[in-house]
Amino acid sequence: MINPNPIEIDREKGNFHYNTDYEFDAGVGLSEDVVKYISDVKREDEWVKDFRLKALNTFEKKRMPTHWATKDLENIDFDVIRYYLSKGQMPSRTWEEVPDDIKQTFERLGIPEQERKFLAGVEAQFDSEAAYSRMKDDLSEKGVIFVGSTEGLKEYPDIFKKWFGKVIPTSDNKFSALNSAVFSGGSFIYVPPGVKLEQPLQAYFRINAENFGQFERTLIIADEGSEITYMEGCTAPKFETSTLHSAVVELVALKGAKIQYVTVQNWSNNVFNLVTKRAMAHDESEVRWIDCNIGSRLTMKYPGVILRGRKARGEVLSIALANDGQHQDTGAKMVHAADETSSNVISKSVSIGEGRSTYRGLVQMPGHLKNCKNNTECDALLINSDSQTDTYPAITVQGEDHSVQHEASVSKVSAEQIFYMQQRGLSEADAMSMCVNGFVNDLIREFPMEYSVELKRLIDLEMEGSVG
Amino acid sequence: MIADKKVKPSSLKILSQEHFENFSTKHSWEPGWLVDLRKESWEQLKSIEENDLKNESWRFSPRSRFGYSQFNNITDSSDSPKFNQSSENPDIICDSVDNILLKHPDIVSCFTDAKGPNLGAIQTYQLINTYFNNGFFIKVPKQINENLRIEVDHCLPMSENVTFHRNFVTLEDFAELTIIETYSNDNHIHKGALSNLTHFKIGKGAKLNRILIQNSSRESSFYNLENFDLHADSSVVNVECYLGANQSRIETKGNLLESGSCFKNFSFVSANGEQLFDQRTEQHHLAPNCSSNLLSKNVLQDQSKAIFSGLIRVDPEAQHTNALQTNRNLLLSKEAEADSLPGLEILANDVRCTHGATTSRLNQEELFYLLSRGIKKKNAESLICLGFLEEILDKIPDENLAKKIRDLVCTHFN
Repeated sequence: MINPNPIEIDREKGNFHYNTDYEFDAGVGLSEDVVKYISDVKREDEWVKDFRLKALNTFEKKRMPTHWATKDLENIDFDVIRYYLSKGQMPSRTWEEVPDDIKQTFERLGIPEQERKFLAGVEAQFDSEAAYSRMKDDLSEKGVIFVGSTEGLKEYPDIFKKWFGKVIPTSDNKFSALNSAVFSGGSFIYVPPGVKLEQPLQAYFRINAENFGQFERTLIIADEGSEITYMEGCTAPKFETSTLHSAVVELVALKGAKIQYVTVQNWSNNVFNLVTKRAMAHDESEVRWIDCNIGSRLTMKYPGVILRGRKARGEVLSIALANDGQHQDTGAKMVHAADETSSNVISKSVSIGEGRSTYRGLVQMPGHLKNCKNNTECDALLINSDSQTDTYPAITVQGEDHSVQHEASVSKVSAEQIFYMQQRGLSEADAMSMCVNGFVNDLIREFPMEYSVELKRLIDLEMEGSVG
Repeated sequence: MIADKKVKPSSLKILSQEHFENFSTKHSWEPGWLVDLRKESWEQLKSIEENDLKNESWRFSPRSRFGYSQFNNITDSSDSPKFNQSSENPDIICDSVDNILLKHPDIVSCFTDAKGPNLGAIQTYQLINTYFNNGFFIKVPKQINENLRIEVDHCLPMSENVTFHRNFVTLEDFAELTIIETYSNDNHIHKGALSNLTHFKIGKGAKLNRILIQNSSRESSFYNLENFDLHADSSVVNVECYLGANQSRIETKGNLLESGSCFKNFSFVSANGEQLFDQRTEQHHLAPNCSSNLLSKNVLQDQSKAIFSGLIRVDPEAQHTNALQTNRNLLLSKEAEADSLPGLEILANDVRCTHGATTSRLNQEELFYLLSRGIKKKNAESLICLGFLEEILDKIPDENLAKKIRDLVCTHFN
């Protein structure tokens, strides 16, 4: 029998902490004053402040979704969290200008190196605000905008105000309301018509402080015929107390645009990761969420696409690894709202030790539409006898003109496979790791090159010690 | 089959305290355990909060069509199921619950702690426990396997009336039984609601073959809660055919309690007009080396709607489980709607569990082929749909019965 003994070698990469002095601190707990403080520090326009205060009201009224989600949510204490911590509101344009204590964090995580190698632009967020933000000069000449949320709303209101809070309304859920009240940081991106970014833009989110909540807000608008790949990574040091990360990410793909959004989530095991992500896809556009969840204590994240224009296409590819003490509650939502739209969801999860992975899906096709298609596949792999997996899809189809297929399977690595490879001289652990890699391989291939190499290594290491 | 007694109209709604007290007074002769059960269920019924009614187990379901508030009459115990038994063996008990309660209530008392399927219809469950006054009781003693076949014909009440029945089927070790339940009443008379709660206790190595055909009046309501308890090496093949009633809520749960048991549940819905079928199932594996298979096929026309929610639950002890679940929907019109909620909750690792759900229209090439041979569209559609449902009809051991059901399906295409 396989004994659960997972060790987390690779996951230690982000587990360090330098003491930092913050100049701006909204204190502990949530109140109207905290929201006003954040808004004042950011020197926001009146309408943004009103938006925040209304959202706070909504947040207080909404109930925790514990009637369907895990009871672990009740362990979040909103009164002990710090909602805003920063050293200043304007990010530096060169790494030299970044304060030393913050710079050494990002250097240790390898961000400046990655930027030189393959990125078109980087934003590095440290707790509440971005410490560094830079995009290649030729892109700004083409009219690409890549700024933080505060700057985006202040400097380019005519571009961003139109879609801000429109894809995900404040009242969507309790955590989107919380984010709308205290959001800070994140990326606001606009890609002009016809501009195709060859290299990805990247955001890196770092939580450094204890008892902290990070609430970044991202809005990406890809204008007609443009293309963009956006990647986000994240880490936090391991604290005894829990940390909250609750982002809102809105994507708008206008006619014929393509957006690819890649997430590699590697929070430490004390982070509640409760994220709302949704895209609006117009005519003939394509939105692709590539989502990899390895870290956090509890992740609840269901990237969605509202297929609003004819022939729009939405896709979610997701990999989740749940180890001891982790619950990866992920999934996808596909709302078909125009003719000839199609969507594809492929989800693979691996539960190790006492880890639990959950898939929740939603597919909607109303009767007045023609020729919509959906394909959903979710496969779960269970490694140890205590591992757990759940699947809860919800499919609504009306009308005679659609086709939907959903398939899910749960299995373990078969003893025959392991035995076969052991006969060929592989150790049991190597054999297990090879099986798991084979299981997720066809999905990993869809990731951008640089990430897929890194991911394979991550999974190798995550698996190490879980057998034998 | 119609209850010949006239039921006195009463203005008290069945959910009112007065109605319950009147009922209790009339049933004061009953044994103590039953009086307690009714009282306890009534208390629990009152404690159901609005919130409980809004949870996941009612997702997609239009609750307004599944209430009891409009009823003020419970049909009395004369409304009993009719039996047709293939064997005269005196050891086999087959009687109405009404008679059993009068003659030897003790044999029912062991069922007091039996749980329902508990898949969401708490109100129906508690109401049945509070008000049931009839049903059927079948007990097949050990080792009886003489091709025993029992037919049970149910009767739906008249318009604005509601019937609460509890049914009990016990198969002792190594017993075998085929049971055929039908609900087919006169369209113009039996427009009320029937709420059924059925317990199946399947002993070691016993085999149950159960066929249910629901073709009741188009204006009636139908609630069917059933719970199968399977002991070691027993097997159940359950085939359910749903054609009638305006709205049906069906909850079927198979508990695989001991090693080696096998639960097969096949069902189909053929719906047209404004029919609603809300079907919730669970395959609960509590012991190792069990297998379960579920297949649900729905053919939906006009404005009909079918909800299928199925859960495979595998406990940590239930290693070497093999569980399947398939839901297939055919939509024949613009307004027809199919909602699928296939679910898995797996806590053991050495298992093979899969589910699949598909929804689509008729294969247009097949349809074109038939049309080009001069077959009328409705006939062509019914032919393809019959072919689609054949996978389930195939499981019915009696060819005459299968033919009867095919004819019923065809009537939906006229």
